[in-house]
Amino acid sequence: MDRNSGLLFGLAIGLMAGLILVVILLKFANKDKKVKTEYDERQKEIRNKGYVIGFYTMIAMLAVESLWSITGYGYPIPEYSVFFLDIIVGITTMCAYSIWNGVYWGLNNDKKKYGIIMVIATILNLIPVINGVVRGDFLSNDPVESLPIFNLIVLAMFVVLLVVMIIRALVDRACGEEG
Amino acid sequence: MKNLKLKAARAGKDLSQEDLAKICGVSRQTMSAIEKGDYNPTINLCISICKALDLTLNDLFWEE
Repeated sequence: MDRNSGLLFGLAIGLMAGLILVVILLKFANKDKKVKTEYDERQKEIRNKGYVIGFYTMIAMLAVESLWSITGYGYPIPEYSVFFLDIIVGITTMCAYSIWNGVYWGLNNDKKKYGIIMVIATILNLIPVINGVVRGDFLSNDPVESLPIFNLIVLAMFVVLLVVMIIRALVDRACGEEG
Repeated sequence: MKNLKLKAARAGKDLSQEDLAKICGVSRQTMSAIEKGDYNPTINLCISICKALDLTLNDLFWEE
C-alpha cells in the first residue's frame, strides 16, 4: 500500500470510527437516550434560519476563495484545509445564530453530559495542535504533517461558540426570567 | 406586543416560565418569547398552553 492509499484508508477508517463514536455519545448525552436532539417549534424555526445563513456564508466564502485563487497568491494555511475551513465557518455561523437566539439546548439534552463531552473534545483537539507546534511542522503543505490544522480550526470554532454562549447567558441573566 | 394575559395567568397558577414550558413541551426561552410577543406560537402550542393554565384561547390570545 503506497502512502496516499494508506492515508485514504486511514481517513476512511477514522471517519467511520468517528461517526460510530458520535452516535454513542449522543445516546449517552440525551436524557431519553435518543440519538436525535428534540427541538420545539420556535427552536426549529430559528435553526432553519440558521442553516440558511450558514449556507450563504459558506457560499460567500467559496466565492471569495475562487476569486482569490485566480490571483495566485495562495493561502497562509495548507490549501486542502481551506475547504474544511469553509465548512466549519458555515457551521459556526449557524450555531452562533442559533445560540444567540436562545437555541443552545435541545429539549432532551443533558447539559452536564454535553459539558463533559465538550471538555473531552477540546482536550482531544488540543493534543495534536500542541504536538504539531512542538514538532514545528504545523503549517507545512504535507497533508499528514499539517493535519493538526483541522484540530486548530475546530478549536477556533469552540472558542467562538463559547464566547457567544457566555455573552448570551450573561444577557439572559441580566434580563432575569423574562430574558 | 407583550402577552400580559399569559404572564398573569401563569403567575396566577404559581408557575415559572420553566414550569409552564416543561408542561407544554417547549423550552423556557420559547415561553419567554411568547410572553414578550417576540414569537407567534402555532395553534397547537396555544392550545397546550391554554390546557396547562385551564383557560381558553380567547382568554389568553384574543386581543380586545
